[in-house]
Order: sequence, then C-alpha cells, then structure tokens
Amino acid sequence: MRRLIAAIISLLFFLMLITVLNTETEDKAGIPAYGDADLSSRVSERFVTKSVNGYDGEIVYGVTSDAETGSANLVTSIVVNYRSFDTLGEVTVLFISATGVGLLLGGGKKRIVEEIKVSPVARLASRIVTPLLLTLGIYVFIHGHLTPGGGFPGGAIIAAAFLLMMLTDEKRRAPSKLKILEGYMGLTYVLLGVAGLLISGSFLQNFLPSGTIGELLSGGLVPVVYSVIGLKVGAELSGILDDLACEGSDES
Amino acid sequence: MIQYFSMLLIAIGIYGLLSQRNLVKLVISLNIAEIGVNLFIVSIGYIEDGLVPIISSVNRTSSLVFVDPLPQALVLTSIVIGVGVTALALALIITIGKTKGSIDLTELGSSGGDDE
Amino acid sequence: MNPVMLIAVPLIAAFISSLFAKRSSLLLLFAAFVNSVIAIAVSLSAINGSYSMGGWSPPYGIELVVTDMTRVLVPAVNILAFFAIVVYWRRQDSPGKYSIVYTISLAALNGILLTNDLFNLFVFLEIAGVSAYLLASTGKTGSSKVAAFKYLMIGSVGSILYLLGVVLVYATTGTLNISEIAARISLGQINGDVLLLSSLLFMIGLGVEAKLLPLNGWVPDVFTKSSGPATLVLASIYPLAMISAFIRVLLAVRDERTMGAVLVLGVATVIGGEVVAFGQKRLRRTLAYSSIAQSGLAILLVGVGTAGAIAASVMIIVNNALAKFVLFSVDGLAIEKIGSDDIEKITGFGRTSQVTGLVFTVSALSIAGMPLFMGFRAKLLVISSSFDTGLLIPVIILLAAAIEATYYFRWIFSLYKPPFSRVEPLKERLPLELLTIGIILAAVLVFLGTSSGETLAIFDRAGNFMEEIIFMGKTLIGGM
Repeated sequence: MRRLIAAIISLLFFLMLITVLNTETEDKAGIPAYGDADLSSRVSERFVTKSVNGYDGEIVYGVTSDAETGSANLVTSIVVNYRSFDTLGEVTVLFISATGVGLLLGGGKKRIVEEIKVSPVARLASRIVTPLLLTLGIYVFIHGHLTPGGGFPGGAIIAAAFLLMMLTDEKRRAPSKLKILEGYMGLTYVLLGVAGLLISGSFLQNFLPSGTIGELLSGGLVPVVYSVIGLKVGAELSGILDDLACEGSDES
Repeated sequence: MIQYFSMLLIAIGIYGLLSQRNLVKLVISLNIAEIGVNLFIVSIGYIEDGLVPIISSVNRTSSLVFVDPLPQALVLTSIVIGVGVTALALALIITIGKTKGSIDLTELGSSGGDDE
Repeated sequence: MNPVMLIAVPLIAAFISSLFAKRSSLLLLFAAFVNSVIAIAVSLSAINGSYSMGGWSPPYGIELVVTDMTRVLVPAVNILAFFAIVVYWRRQDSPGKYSIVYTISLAALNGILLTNDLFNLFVFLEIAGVSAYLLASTGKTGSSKVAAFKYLMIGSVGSILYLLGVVLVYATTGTLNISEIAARISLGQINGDVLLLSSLLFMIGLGVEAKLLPLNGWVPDVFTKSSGPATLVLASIYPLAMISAFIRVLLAVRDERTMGAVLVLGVATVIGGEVVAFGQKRLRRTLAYSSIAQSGLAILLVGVGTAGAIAASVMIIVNNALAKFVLFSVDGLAIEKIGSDDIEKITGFGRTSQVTGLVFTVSALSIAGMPLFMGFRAKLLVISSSFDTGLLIPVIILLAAAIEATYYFRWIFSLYKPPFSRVEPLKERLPLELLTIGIILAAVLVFLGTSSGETLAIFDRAGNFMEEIIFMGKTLIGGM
C-alpha cells in the first residue's frame, strides 16, 4: 500500500516535470529544447568572451595577456573568479560535514572494521600505485585553469590514494597532521578573500596579475586558490575515511 | 532524451525516499535523486555542436561556439555538497546503529521512544 | 562597513577553532560578539544597496544586498546568537566541542539574509542545513540522532527540489540574480507553466525549513530531543533567516496560483499547530507546536502578498524569536533544576524564582498576542492585512489565537499555582546571565508593544523591500 502511494506520487512528479521541457516560444521565455540553448540571452555569454568589464576583443590562446581573468578553462574562471563566493560556501559545507563526522565518530583509538586478508602482491602493488595517484591528484589541481579538473577532483584523487593505502594495510591511520592542514587551508582561503577586500575593494577580488592565457603561471589567484582547495579537500575526505574506519570505539 | 532520463532518475529517487525503510537505502535513494538533478543541470547548458569550454591549442579563440560553462560550475558545487551531506548521513547511521541496535525506520518508532 | 564581514568573521573564527580545538567556545563567543557589533553598524549606517563580491558587478557576479528588511533581521539574528551563547556559557550543557558548528551556522544565517543570488542562497541554505542537522543531534539520548537523521532526509529532499527550481529559472531567464529574475517575471516575460512549477518547487523546497505543513514532521522530535542551546538556536534564530528566504524567493518568483497554495497550507499549518499544542503536557512539545503555528502565520501572510502583510510577517518572526528565546531558556532552566518540564511538575516554579516567572509570563503573553506586548501589534497587523482575502482567513486566525491564548494561560497558571506538596526552595543560585537577558528581551517586547507608531515604521519599510529589489532588477535589464 505504501509502495503504491509512493509510486503514484513519483509518477505525478515525473509528469509534472516533463511538462515544462521544450517550452520556449516567441514571446515568452521558457525552457529551450535540448541543444538549442541561446547563449546570448544568458550571463554566460560574457563569461565566455571574458567581457564582463566591457572588453570586446577576442581572446586567443597563448597571445592575449592581462585579460580580466587569465584562466583558459572557462569553467574554472567561473568557479574561482566570477563566482568565487559560491566556492567559499562549498568549501565550508565540506568542512562542516567533515567536522560533524569527526564529532559524531571521532576519538577512535584503533580501527575496528573487519580485517581484510590482503595478498602480498596487492600490498606491494598498492605501494607502487599510491605515489602515482598522489602525483595525478596534484597535477589535476595545479592544472585546474588549463585542463578539466581543478581542486575538487584533485582532492578526491588524493583521498582515493589514501583509501587504497587504508584498504591494503590494516593498521594504517591518517596522519594526525591532516586536521591542521585542513584548518590552515580553509583559513588561507578566507584570508585571501579579506586580502582582496583590503587591496582591491571587494571581497575575494583577484589581485594578482592575470598573465597570458594558456601558461601555467596565469590566472592570478586561480592556481593558488585551487591548490589550497585541492589540499583542503584531500585532507578532509581522508579525515572522513579515517573516522568512518575507526567508528569512535570508546564513546557514546 | 537525456532530460527525460534525468527526470526519471529524480522520480525513482523520490519513490525510494518515500517507500524504503532501511536507513542506508534512504541515503542511496537520495543520491540517485541528486544524480538526476545534476544531470539535468548539465543538460540545460548543451548547445548543438558546441565545444568543450576550454581555450586550448586546439580551440584557440573565444569566438567559437562553446557550451554553457555556468551549469557545469553549478554542478561542481552541487556534487560536493551532496558528498558532504551523504558523509554526515552515514555517520549518523553508524551512531544510530550502535546506540539503538537497528537501522530500520519502523523499528526505530515514529517518535524514537520516550526517553526524554 | 562591508556586510561581507558578517560572514567572514565567523568563518575565520571557525577555521581557527579547528586548529585550536580547546579554544573553540571562546572563539565562538568572540565571533558572536564581533558580529553583533558589525551587525548594528551595518544596520544603522550602510546605505541600501548592493555590495558585489569579487569586484564583478551583478548579474555577472554575486552581490550582497542591504534592504530595509535586512536592517531589521540582521541585528536580530546576530544579537540573539550572542545572547544564546552567553546564556549557556557556564552551564552543564554548554556547546563545548560543538561550538564550531554554532559558529558556522552564524555565518550561514547571515549569508542567507544578505545574499541576492539564487544559487548562492542554495549554498548558504545547505551550510545552515548541515549545521542544523548537527545541532539537532546534540541531545544526550540516541533518539536525538534518529530525529536528526529524519531531519536530514526531509531537509535534503527540500534542497534537491529547491535546486531544481533554481535550474528551471536559470534555463528560462538566463540569470541567477534575484533582482533581475523578479524584474523579468513582473514584466511578464516568462512562460506560465515554468513559472508555476518553479514557484511550487521553491515553496516545497523552502517550506521544509519554514515548517510548512505537511513537511514539518521533523519539528517536534528535533525540538524536544536536542540539547538546550541547540534548541534555542534552532527555534528562535533559524526561523528569522529561513522565513526571510521564503519571503524573498516566493515574492521574486511570484505566481498567483502558488500564492493561493501558500495561503491554504499556511492556514492549515496554523490550525494544526495550535490544535496539537493544546493537548500537550510537556512544555517543550507545546513550544515546538507553537513554533509551527507561528511559522504558519508568517507564511500565510506571504500568500496574501501585500506590503502590509509582509510587514506583519516580519513582525511575527521577530516577536517569535524574542519570546521563544525566553520561553525555551526558562524551559531549559526548569529541566536542569527541577528535572522535568511536565505541567504537573513545574507548578510553583514561578514562585520560587520571581524573575523567571515574570519573563516567562511576558513572553508567553506576547506570543499569544495580548495587549501591551509586541505580539498584540503584530497580530493586529496580521488580521488587518488578511482582510484583503475576504472574511474567512481573519476568522480562522482569531480562532487559532483564542486556542493559543488558552493553553499559554494554562502554562502561566501552572507556574504560579501553589504546589501540592511543600517544595524546597532552590538551593543553587539561578544563572545570572539568563535572568539578565530574559529581562532585556522582555523589556524589548514591552517597549515594542507600547511605543508610538514611528518605531513600527521600520517594519512597514521592511514590508516594502520587494519594490526596491524589482527596481534594481529593472535597471539591470535596461543596462544589459
């Protein structure tokens, strides 16, 4: 009975949602058909051509310098520059979740998850793969403004490396310095914002020169912020994994 | 097509949230619904024959037709928030399992017992 | 004074707390105090306008906006948060290691009040939500974790639906700035079906936190089972921000059919809340259901939608914040000193501590809407604004107010009734902070209830904030 009601409600929901697709008409704006989005009617148009402040030239790879944002990856320029305040909020959500997991489950002295029997081959192989994974993660967040990726996937790859080490070694715990790294990185991000406020007049404003599009040292604050975020996210997710594995044995 | 599919995922997630009793299955249903929403967000940015929004040595100028980068930025944030909430939910489930001994909604009772 | 400091200061304090865990409660007190000072400065001096983040002018960048409504609510939130920490500073269930959660929730609530961007509002709602789930789990028993989990589930469903609404609005209008969206919708440029669906999604998404029926299943369990300071923050401070978000978004994405639904559900919430509160024997549960009813009252006024109705809504939530603060503090005190808050057990508590009884009475009468207190002026404005929709709504509100007054009087009498058996006078001293703050808040309630019309003009201006927002939006469209 309950499943029937649930199914009916979900079906109604589905029908309600699909009625609004494909509703763009001549005189009233609606949801455009799939693939027909008109970029010139959206704010993203200026994000793509980097012309929020009125610049109307073309942006060319390797040639244009001192554009209003220097990163070649347009999504990165939105996440870390135009809408950097959202990213600060996102970092805070992850921070409070990781802290919450630590408060609820923290304080475990040893791992109490079932011991997995791991063969020596797997153990050796994981030790070879882990540094490669760490390097990959660091590469992803350093290159966030030139290639797809950025701080969050980079941090997740670092945490995956840590997970690999945890799975193949029963006694492995997270280094205790992780929480300190996390706190310092978070503090750095907010302080960069305040520095922007003091130097240029707006919170989180980019105050470093933006360089030439396509080079590693371009984009002003963007590589710095993404590195900070990458380290923070890696430390946070590793901390969550560690807390889940130890399950706060003595308390509550 | 992909937009209908993402709506279907959201509907499946909502069905799971309304009908399941096991706490872990509720978290899984929530994740399915979140995936549906994220897929939908990306799909509204798609432009036919648009390029990946990165200026690179292959796509050298900004006057080419790129897909909309803003929904991709929104999805980045949304996925991370989903991860945070899921981690917290799982931590709560572990704590509930340890103190109450069960992770089934009906066994936990409608008002969780009368120990105030 | 840039209002972004209201968000940056608690965030900095929170990140420092994670490095120096032992000092986290001191940092919380410090952040709350600094925030209160900044909030008063912002409210008195900053011009009504927008502050862009990152130096990018809206709608390309995110902006924080100070309107008449934020001038009223921002100091209220920050000062009450400071009071909440002071009240529980030296007690047994002080925040302790959870101080960092309170700090972050302070930053998030300020963000919700100030931001003018739909997606930024989503992010801050999530921060506030995750903090609320953690606060809800701070109770001593295992049931508080179950209550927190259910809250998490319902809250996450709400935020998914809210995000879907944001996406639909972006796909049609091409922007995420609330002013511009409000202007476009008021100019009629948006397809009616999309408008209806997105406003319904916003109503459900924001209605979870705003305690709208039928999404308020989480309220009784969370309010009764979490710890003292957590309940205080969740019951008196969170509604200020959450209902202001509800008001802003639903007035921006305005659809008349949804307004009708909001009206109906608001009325149902009020009736449901009051009727169930009537039968409760424990003070905390009574107060929880009374909170649901007050939220319902504030929401149905959004359904009415006129400027006077919005002013009344703001008055209701401020009245609720001040009075519920005192009521929940007294309840916490009763549980700590007497051991229970059952209606039988707390008889005579008002006689053993005159000040406690007095501030409790003042707050309870203010919520019930008795003359001399702010609640009376608020209820008067509520009823006069709701006459716009015909005779039925004011009658229902009066009926609900009658039920409310009855059960609050019952609690007041129980406080002052001579106890059956000789109750020993309390040996320990009552916490001075609680009594002082209780007297301050009760005095504010009386002051706002008896002062002349000019002081209430701030609420009237708050009710008109939407005009400013739409005006800002129209300049943005013109310039685009």
